[in-house]
Amino acid sequence: MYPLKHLKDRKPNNMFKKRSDQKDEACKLLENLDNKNIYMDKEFSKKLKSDILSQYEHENVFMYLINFVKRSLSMPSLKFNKLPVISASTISLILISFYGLITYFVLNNYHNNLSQNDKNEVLSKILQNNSGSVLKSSKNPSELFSVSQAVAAELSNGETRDETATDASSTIAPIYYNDNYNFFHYTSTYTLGPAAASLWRFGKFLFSN
Amino acid sequence: MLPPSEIEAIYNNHSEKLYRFFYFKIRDQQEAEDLTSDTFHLLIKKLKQVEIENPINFLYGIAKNLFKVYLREKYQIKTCPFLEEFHDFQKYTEEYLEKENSQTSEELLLKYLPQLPEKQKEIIELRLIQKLTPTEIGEKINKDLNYVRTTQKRAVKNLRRIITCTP
Repeated sequence: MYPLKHLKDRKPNNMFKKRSDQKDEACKLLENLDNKNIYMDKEFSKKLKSDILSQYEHENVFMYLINFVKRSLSMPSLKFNKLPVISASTISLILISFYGLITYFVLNNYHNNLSQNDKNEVLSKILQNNSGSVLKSSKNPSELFSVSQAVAAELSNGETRDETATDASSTIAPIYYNDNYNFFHYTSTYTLGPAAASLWRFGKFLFSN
Repeated sequence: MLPPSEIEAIYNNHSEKLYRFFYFKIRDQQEAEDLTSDTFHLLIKKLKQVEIENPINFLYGIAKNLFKVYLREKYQIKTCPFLEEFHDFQKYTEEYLEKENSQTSEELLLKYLPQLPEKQKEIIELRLIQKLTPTEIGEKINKDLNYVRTTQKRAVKNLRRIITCTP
């Protein structure tokens, strides 16, 4: 059952107006033609103005990078906004390079300022028969080898470990870290660049064989 | 790059003109706002990418192209010879606005009516110039109300297209 009371109380709306009372398309067009005082809505105009001014003054970081690359390479034919493939690859390349570089400089600085304890730890690693792998991965095997040999000789002559370790580790640790924690290590470990590091290794593998 | 104050000045001097031009051509407030907004956004985008010697000419060039795209999408008009004739689109816009302001609705209707098919022209003349109701028009031309309404609807649609596409 319909609630008749509500139907009865309901006010008439446009649905029940006679069709002849409503303005048809022709009347609306005539009104349009008659009305000469048409101006842009003030609110809309204000919003549009602030919108374009802010667009002009502050561009977002991604657009800035894209425009910067585009300007510097002077490629007017390249439409970044219409090519999602190019923009995705460009953005990821830029991200990988920037992130890799930043982590490289930050962490490299950290490893160059190692504490004495860290250096001693490296030294003990080398002296505890791990020197083989360290020497193998090092770019300066002769240097590392001679230092570790000297340390081993001094230790066997009854020198105190602490004094020897302090001198030797200062030489060994930076070499060890610089050889083992290079740019590609940081990139592959800490950044979005496992792909970049693998590519590098694959390329190296291809050219070395 | 231009200073922001110059961009503001361009907007203040030309946004209203462009909006009114689009409105008088299209006779639809929302679409005129969209086209005006698109024109300025495109100008800003281009200003950030390349050096533009005359931004005002460039603005009117964008407006012309956007209007062409609108005609192509809405009315499937592939070429717009009347738009191609006007190399100085800014001048054309200003002249069009002046002409539009000086003419009454009857004068405008009389200008566009000859381009309508005969039956539609008759109905629009009776409806909008002689101001008869659809029922009266039906009685006068011995046709039923549905015929009058249908023909009038088609005529208005055609008339809108003619207004938009006539120089």
